[in-house]
Amino acid sequence: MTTTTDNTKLPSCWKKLNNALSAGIDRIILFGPSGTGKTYAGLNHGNTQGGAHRLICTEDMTTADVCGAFMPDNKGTFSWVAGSALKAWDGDGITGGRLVADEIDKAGGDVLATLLAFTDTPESASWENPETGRIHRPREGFSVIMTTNIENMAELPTALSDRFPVRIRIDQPHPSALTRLSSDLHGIAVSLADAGRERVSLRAFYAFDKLRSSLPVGEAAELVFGDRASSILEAMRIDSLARVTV
Amino acid sequence: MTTMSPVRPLPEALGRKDTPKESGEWSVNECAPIRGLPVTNVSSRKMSAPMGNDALSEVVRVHELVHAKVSPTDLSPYLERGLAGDDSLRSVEEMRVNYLASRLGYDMKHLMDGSEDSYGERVVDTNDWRGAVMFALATAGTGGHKKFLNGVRRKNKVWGAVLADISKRAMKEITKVPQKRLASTEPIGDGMIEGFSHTERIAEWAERMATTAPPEPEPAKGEDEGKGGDTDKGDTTDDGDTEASKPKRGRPKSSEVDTTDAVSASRKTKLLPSSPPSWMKLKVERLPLPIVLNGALGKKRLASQTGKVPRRIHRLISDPNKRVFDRTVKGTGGIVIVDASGSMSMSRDELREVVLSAPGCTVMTYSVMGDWRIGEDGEAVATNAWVLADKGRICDEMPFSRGQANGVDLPALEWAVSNRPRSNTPIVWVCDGHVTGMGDNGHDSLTLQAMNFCSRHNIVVVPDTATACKYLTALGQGKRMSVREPWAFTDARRQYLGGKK
Repeated sequence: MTTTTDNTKLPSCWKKLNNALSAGIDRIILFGPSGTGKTYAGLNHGNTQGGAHRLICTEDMTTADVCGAFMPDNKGTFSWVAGSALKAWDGDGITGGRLVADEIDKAGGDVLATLLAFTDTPESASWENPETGRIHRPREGFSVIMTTNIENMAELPTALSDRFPVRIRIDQPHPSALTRLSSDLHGIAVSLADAGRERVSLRAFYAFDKLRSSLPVGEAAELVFGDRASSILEAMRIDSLARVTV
Repeated sequence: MTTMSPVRPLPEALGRKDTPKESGEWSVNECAPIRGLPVTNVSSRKMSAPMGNDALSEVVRVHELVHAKVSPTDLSPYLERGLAGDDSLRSVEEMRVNYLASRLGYDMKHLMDGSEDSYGERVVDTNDWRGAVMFALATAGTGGHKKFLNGVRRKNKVWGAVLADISKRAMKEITKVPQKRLASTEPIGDGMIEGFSHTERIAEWAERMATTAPPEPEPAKGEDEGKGGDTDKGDTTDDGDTEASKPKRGRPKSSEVDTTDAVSASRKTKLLPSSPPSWMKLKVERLPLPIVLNGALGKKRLASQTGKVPRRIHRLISDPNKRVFDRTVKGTGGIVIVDASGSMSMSRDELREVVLSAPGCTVMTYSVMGDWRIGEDGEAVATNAWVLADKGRICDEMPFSRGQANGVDLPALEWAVSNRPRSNTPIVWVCDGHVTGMGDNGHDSLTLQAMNFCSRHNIVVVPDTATACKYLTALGQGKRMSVREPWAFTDARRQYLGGKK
């Protein structure tokens, strides 16, 4: 799928991502506050004809999630089930797919090592299937987008950061994600998405928007924002200043 | 029972169009709702505001949030324009912010800290008319405004009436502007934003209003001189027994003071109808000056030991050489600035005539010849001012036959002032008074700026080239000649300054 949003109207961070993808960059880190649509962009933006495969990294995961593992099948035997990275390498059989690795920095040592192998340059990346002995290589078009909430890229392992030369900070939700929200909430949702400790996620605004259609605004705000309801309602009121037409 | 948690203001949630979006939270501190403590700094993202749930804390917090939403990050572009000073800009901005907050439904009548009343009395006692105007504007639309005026009226009813009228007029101007535009932070060039341009326009008027205090109240006809008093209400001890023991201040009882004249006199100072454009940037080119022009402009007197009339008798004591007489020497020049815009209809020969009439002077002419572009360095791309004569030498070829737009009138005068060797070097400005700013847009404020600048720096304005030649020739002969100011200046003076010079 290729997104069709007009690049000139996009916020700077999304414009950068579009430019990088259209220039053929296939290793990108998207970082920044959560709830801004980094994973969504990884799964949907740019050329994802070969399919997009998501990998959520945790300390407890194993390499099975990355490359695959023998799993019991309905015949009572074990067969090989490919992991996300291997699926992305193979893509649709013609072109490579997209691997979206969420929080890759949180993966354990062995998983990280496997991931490094899978995200290596196409010339040196290869993996042997233990069942068939077939050597897998990434098909042309394979791309990796890694997402993380860490702000300082220096905290990433060197081997990992070497593989991802382009890093883009996504500091506001994609305009297409805002279309689900009432227009009066767009501004505040964008502003608070990257407000440090005062951050409010887009998901909270989705919930508030839905609730306020059936509940009084104050009640809806209290339900979603809790103690911060008064602050947020006050800010919403003031932010409406330049929007009101008289 | 639910406990009320503190309400932290959320300036992070407010969007602006003049600054790029910034990450992270603001530094927000809690403070008491007392005048002077709450503060907002948009550029450094800092705010001190009360976080209580009471009505006063709420309106103070909202006031600060509206500042964060609409106030400019930097006042220096406005201060550099010189239309209004820092205090007037801040006072009118307070008024704009309070008005916008009230438009959102907040009851700004709660905005007062109780000190307004005594401050009102104090400004009268200290005869601080400027302070009174600024405070009246800053509190307009809030609960503190009425209290302040009460304090003022108690001491001076005329001041009270005029201040009330000034606030009312300023508020009327603010309410005329559509809310969307009034609150807009859309950049309009030169580091300025749309909403604050309305503040600047009203502040410019406030500056003029604050220059002269209304006259002292005069007793109404038939008033008994002995019935002096300085309060209009509340002085229950003001009876016949105490009257004799109280010192008379010479001010009539305020109920007997007629304020109509003072209010109507203050109404002669009109507001500008719209926000003024900026001046174009001046770009000066010094033309080759191959021709020597002998002569000098003006004469000056120096102290001398010999002579007929001892004009400097004080030098008998102060001067070791006892130079009590005068001797006259030829002046070494002055600066002549020539407006060569289309409205002057000046031919190449006429321009040359002016240059020849000013021997020994620095002569500069200016006109924007259609190119209004400003480069990335913030300077004009094309030359719009040319030095035609300097230090006794003149150019042989005038740069153009007829000029086009003005655009740089004030910057040209500023150039003249900055280039004059001594503070008493004469500066003559040949101009018909029709000044314009960026894009050749005229505005009365630009005219007022130019007028003020001329009077501040003793610049003589000569309306046309023929008069300029006569004036410069007379000056060269050491004669004094009075020149009528351009009609546009007289008109602006009448409209906005009540005819005051």
